[in-house]
Amino acid sequence: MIKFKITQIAVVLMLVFLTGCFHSSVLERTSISVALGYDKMGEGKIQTSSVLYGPTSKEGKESSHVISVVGETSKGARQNLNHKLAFKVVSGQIRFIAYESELAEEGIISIVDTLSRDPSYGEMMYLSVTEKPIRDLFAYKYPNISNVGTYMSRLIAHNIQNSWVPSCTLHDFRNDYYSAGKEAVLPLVERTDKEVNVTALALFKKDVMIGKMQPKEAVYLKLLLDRDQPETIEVKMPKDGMAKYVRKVGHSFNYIKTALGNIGSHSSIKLISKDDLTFDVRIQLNVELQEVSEDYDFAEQGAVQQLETELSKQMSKDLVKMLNQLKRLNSDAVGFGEVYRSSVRNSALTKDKWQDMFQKATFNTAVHVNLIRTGTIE
Amino acid sequence: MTVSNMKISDMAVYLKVELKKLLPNCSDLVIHGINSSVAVCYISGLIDSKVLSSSILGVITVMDEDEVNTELIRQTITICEIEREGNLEQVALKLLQGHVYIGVLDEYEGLLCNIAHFPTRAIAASENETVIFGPVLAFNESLGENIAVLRSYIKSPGLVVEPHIIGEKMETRIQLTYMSEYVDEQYIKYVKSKLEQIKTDGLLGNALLMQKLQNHPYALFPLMTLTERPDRTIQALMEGKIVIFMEGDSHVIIGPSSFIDFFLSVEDRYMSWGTGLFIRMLRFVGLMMSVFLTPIYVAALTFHYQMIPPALIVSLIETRSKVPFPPLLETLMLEMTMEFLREAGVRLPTKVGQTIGIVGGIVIGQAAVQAGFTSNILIMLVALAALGSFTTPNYLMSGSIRLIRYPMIIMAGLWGILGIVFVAMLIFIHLLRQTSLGRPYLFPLFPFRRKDLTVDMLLTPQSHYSYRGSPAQSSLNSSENDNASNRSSSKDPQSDSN
Amino acid sequence: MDVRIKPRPNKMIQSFGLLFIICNVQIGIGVFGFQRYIAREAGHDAWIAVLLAGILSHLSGWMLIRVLRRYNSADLYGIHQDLFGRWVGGGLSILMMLYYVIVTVTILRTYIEAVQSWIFPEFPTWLLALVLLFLSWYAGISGLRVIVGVCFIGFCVMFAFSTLYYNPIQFAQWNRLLPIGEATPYQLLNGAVAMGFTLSGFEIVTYLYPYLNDKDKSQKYMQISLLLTNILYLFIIIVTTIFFSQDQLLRTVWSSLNMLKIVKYPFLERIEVLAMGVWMFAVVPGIIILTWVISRGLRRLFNFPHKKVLIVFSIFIYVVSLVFHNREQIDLLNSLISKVSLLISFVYPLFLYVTVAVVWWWRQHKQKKGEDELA
Repeated sequence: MIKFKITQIAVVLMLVFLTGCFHSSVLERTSISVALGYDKMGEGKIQTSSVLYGPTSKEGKESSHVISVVGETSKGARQNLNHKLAFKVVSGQIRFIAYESELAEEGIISIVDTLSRDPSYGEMMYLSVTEKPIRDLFAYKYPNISNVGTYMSRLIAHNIQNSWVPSCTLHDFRNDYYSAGKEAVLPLVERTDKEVNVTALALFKKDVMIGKMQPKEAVYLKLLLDRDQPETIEVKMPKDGMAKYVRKVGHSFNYIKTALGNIGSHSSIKLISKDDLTFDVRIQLNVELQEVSEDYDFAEQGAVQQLETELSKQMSKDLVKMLNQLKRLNSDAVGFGEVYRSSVRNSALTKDKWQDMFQKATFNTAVHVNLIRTGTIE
Repeated sequence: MTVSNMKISDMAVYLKVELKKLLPNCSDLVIHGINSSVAVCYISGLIDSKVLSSSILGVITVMDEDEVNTELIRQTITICEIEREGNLEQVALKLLQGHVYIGVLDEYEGLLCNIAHFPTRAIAASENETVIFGPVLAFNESLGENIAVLRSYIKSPGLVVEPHIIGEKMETRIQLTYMSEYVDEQYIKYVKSKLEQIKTDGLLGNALLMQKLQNHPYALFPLMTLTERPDRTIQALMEGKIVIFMEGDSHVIIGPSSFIDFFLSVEDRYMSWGTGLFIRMLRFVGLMMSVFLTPIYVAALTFHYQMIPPALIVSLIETRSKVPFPPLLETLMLEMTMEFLREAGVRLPTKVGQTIGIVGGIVIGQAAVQAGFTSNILIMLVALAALGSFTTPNYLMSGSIRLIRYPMIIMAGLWGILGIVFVAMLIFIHLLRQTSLGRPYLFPLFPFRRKDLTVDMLLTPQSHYSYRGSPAQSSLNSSENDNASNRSSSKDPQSDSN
Repeated sequence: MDVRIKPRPNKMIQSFGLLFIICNVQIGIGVFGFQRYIAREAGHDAWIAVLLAGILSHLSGWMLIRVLRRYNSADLYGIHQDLFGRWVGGGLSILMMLYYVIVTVTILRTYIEAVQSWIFPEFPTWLLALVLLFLSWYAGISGLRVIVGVCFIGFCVMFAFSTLYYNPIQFAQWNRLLPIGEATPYQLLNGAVAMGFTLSGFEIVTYLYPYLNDKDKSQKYMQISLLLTNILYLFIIIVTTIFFSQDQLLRTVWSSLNMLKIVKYPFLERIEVLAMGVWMFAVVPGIIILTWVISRGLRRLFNFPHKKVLIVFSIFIYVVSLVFHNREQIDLLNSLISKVSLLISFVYPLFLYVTVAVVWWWRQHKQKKGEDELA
């Protein structure tokens, strides 16, 4: 019995002492990178910029520093970062990745897949595209932003939650890229003077960026993608039938502008005819009026109904505009292909096949706006 | 060598000679000759001198020297426990147990009167197992008084009190008690066979006896409960457990115990079931925290930095950047400091002990961070872990819990999360292998007994709770429930596999 | 060797324990990456294939228990001897044991591979193998009851972790499941075959049966445990299908772990690291049971003492598992064993069922004839 126990204890101790040292990454002995950016350099080289917090930052508080290096491949460049740092670079805390648009226009899937191949990267980091070199965006000393890396991820996260930016995580991008009937969308970020901005959406065809979509249209894209919903929608419509409900007209106007608070929307896409590729696109919106540009008289009979119909009409128009833009660029960011695949048996849809078909698709759009309330006043 | 030796003329002289042979170095032996034919012997300090003077000496001294004989004395003195004894060797043994020997000239047998009065302390409030409310009584070191306390609660004749003697030299008396209706025969058999096997000069206290009773000499955890609270003891008895009292020890052994039992306090039942349940759950959370908190800190900081959320990582980097040691060393040092504080607090007198807390809490805590010795997050975690281990109501168990933390911290520092899981699994298998009086140690959890588990863990309201069985049910003993529960528990005991 | 064995009562376990054992043998490391093999065959209808394989497993399990019930208290080693005689039966038993050796090595090696590619690329193979085998040996020498206990905790860990898969559902696109039934029956069957290896292992009940206390409940718990396993697998395959796009899934080696990457708590992120480590609780029981079955077999066939066999065997498995170096070899091992396991878990029970039925009918027939002649 005693002998037996001694063997057990000996084995355990042996295990402990035999290992001793293998690669640890003690928190403060590593350079923790929080954001990565890829810029295109000449001769097919890639410049990687990284925002780090690490022991080199003096205060420890959200401060950051930026390092850029050039390499043949993205991973190679990342390895080269080590040449400039006192500690090994680790990538497990990266939350934001940006690609220069020049790079994105050539295709980024190899870089994206590299990220997914390495288990230390998270799947929930945000990808985005910049039009100017990322080094500028990262290296600029912002007066109000202490760590641009974490700031960017927070910026995008909150815009996904409340505004018109569709979810753009690494998972989303790969998910769309590898699905037959949907294309990826990434936000475009930019530094304007002393702050950073999400300016537009970058539309992709496979992994190649082929165009931009302005926020005005992007709202409708977001409405159709149907996960988090934009909180506010701005609609600008011709005065037409509503002029009579405007109380005082001190000046001449042609348009009525409204800001709607979205308090619940639902969208549905149905394939109506698989031969003509006609899709029925419906959006049902419950909104509350937050702002209207003229002195609109809600108390009058039929005023609210009139506004609702006008809104629906205008939004439907805008929606078509957005869809046409997608069609023109041949980038199915909404995922009509997926709808087609899931409703047509044995379609054997592939990405290439759908890109040919998407050109021919037609849409019946219907937006139904339901004005729930006009705020605390009428 | 007998008293009836006719040559003897003075009883006291005779006894002095003979008893000195048997108890040669016993200077506190008093041999008091009342007259030439009657002598009284005792060991001073062991007897109640008031009783001696009033009930024995007071009676014998007034007797006529010529008429005196043992029968007369026996009938006259007012002591209840009297026996006749002729063998002087027996007499010597009894004297050591606090009897008084009355020898009469010309008679073979003398009288042994038990007026033993061992030094004891009064029954007082429990100091080590405190409760906010409920009975505060604790057992003391006197076996008789403890049994008396027990009997004052349980008047049933079903309460069995079985005497045993342990130790060849110390001859300590122990009492095996149980409720005959509720107890499982298997446990009694087990305890008795273990008691018979014990070969020792003597055992100082129940803690040692407990270790002798368990099957696993290398067990990390206490396999039976030690308590000094009568209410806990009585609850155990009523649940069909065995309780062992020992002469000279205020703690009693309760067995069989399972791992969960150590985290339950009788006090839980005194509260409303909601509060009681909450406190019970709190203890299990405390257990988890005290075992896993610091190892996870070490593992996360050494290997798995990606698991730390961004809000935490900034402050972690900030504090860690000043610390010159790796997380493993840092944690081990701080945990050891905590243990030093605890141990110092226990060893020092109460008044000084309080200052230790202040020194530890403020001076070491504050200064260690400012000196860049540790990070303040770790200080908080270590303190939480220590607090968690102190919520365990049983002192032996909380010691074991603190102990298993160290291998876990070390392995977390070497292998990260794998190290933690490895040690956790080892401990778990170790727990599975243990038995308490032959019953698996993880009892209601594994082998899984839903009913016992709900009683133990979820703390059903008092109206739904009964002890093992109501007396009516068990006296019938034919009721299906009782049989079923007997059978199910008798199946459990596992023969020790090694 | 006796066909029937009568274990001592204190070595027996309750049928309830089957629940933990069967689930643990079936769900091990395979749950991390089984999805793509099925999706490769059946596309987005993978869940139908899983369902199909699940139903077959119920059937197979039912037949096994029927066979065992006929023998009352025999294990497969005994049944082999009874049906095929000492030499052929013994040979079959040895083949079975060999198969379990390879399965054990596969489990061990796959887990190590997963750990190395997810959390510790530098963790030495020999060390992790040693750790796992040490744990399984430590539990294995302590008897069947402790084994069931270890399985119990493994079971709890597995089902606790499967609740985490609620999170990926939030990112789901349900129309990925549509159109239902697009795959041809042939594709579905192929998918079910691919699922076979993942589901296999429940035939372990044939070795445990004599140790069950209440044998009349064995069928019930057998079916419940198979049901639990199937529900878990069905749940995971559905979540996987709606979470990944098809091509993405085919490229993902450990899809279940990938899905955990999105789980975030304010105090903890990247649950997959935790899951990978804690999954040791689910992997070790599988190894324990298989080594127990092998050592039991050696005891039954050659009368070797259990404890010594266990340590010798652990060393043997340890050495064998070190032979494999890269993922290619491990994949090869996996695909090789998957075919055999299909045979053993699904085809063999049917064969056994029929054979036993025929042989017993024949014996009864002969006996009756003998009685007739006597009369």
